[in-house]
Amino acid sequence: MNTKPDEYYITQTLNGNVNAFAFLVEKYKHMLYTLTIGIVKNREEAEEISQDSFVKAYKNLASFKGDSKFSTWIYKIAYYASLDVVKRNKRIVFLENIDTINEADLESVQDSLKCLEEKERKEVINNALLRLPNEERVILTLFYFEDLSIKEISKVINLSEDNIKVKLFRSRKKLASILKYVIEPRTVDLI
Amino acid sequence: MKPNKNSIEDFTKFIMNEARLEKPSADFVDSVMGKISLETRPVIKSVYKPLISISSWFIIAVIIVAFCAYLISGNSNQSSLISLINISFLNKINLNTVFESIHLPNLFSIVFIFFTVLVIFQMFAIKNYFNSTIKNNDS
Repeated sequence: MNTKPDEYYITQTLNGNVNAFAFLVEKYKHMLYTLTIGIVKNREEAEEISQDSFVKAYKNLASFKGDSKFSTWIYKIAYYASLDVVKRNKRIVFLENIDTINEADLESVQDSLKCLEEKERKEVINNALLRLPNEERVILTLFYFEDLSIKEISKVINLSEDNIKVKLFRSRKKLASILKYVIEPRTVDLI
Repeated sequence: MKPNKNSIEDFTKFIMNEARLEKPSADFVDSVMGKISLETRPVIKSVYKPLISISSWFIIAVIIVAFCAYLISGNSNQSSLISLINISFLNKINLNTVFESIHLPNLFSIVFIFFTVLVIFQMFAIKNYFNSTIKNNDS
């Protein structure tokens, strides 16, 4: 397990040790792939975009000033590359409406999820995340998986911090609504 | 009752803890490094090489100058070298009438001239094409 900071591998790469870049690829591949698949919703495309993002980062590594984290920089590259693909394919993204959800619903959904097998639970949650709008899914992913601050997320997706806060709150509610709909379809139908 | 901010935050934390990062293919890193090695491979630029090099031109120039100098200097004492070459057979050929016996149809002449013009034009076109290709490779 490597414990060296990203800057070490960046310097090594810039000094001509191309293989040092492989450590950065290994470190961020899961996060980048998760981010891109959430936007393009296609495994092959997500893999290609993630790979190309790393290649682009490598080619422009000399211009990376280090003002932000390397992770923030590469997430930004991948985010815009994914949006370009979505735009090019003119894919219609399914947007979920915020359903009314209350305190009891949250507990109920949480309990229902706990009753599921671990594998099934993860499946349900990941599918629910995929149904979120791109921007909101990216915000949730970066906030919870990568522990990026609101300020760092605003740098990645180029929105104001206040806007990110609002979207983060909305995305939490949307996620809860989607899960409620998925877990308790019969209840929703009756309403 | 509407959920408060904390309860929805706790709920999302629980959900995101349960969610997993997606896994790319097993050869993801190798593919990226492969693409990078392709990108970093030195680009072989086509270098323009003239058919006749500068040194060859220099040698040709020296030979011509030497020959001219020899001719000029040789006029004074009627160098024996030229006189050694027997060119008396040229007298047997009547150069004034040799082309008179050749009769070409007008159509052939027109086609021949047209063809020659096209060849010259093509030469310039090809030269310009190669020049522009070399310029593009250099930039």
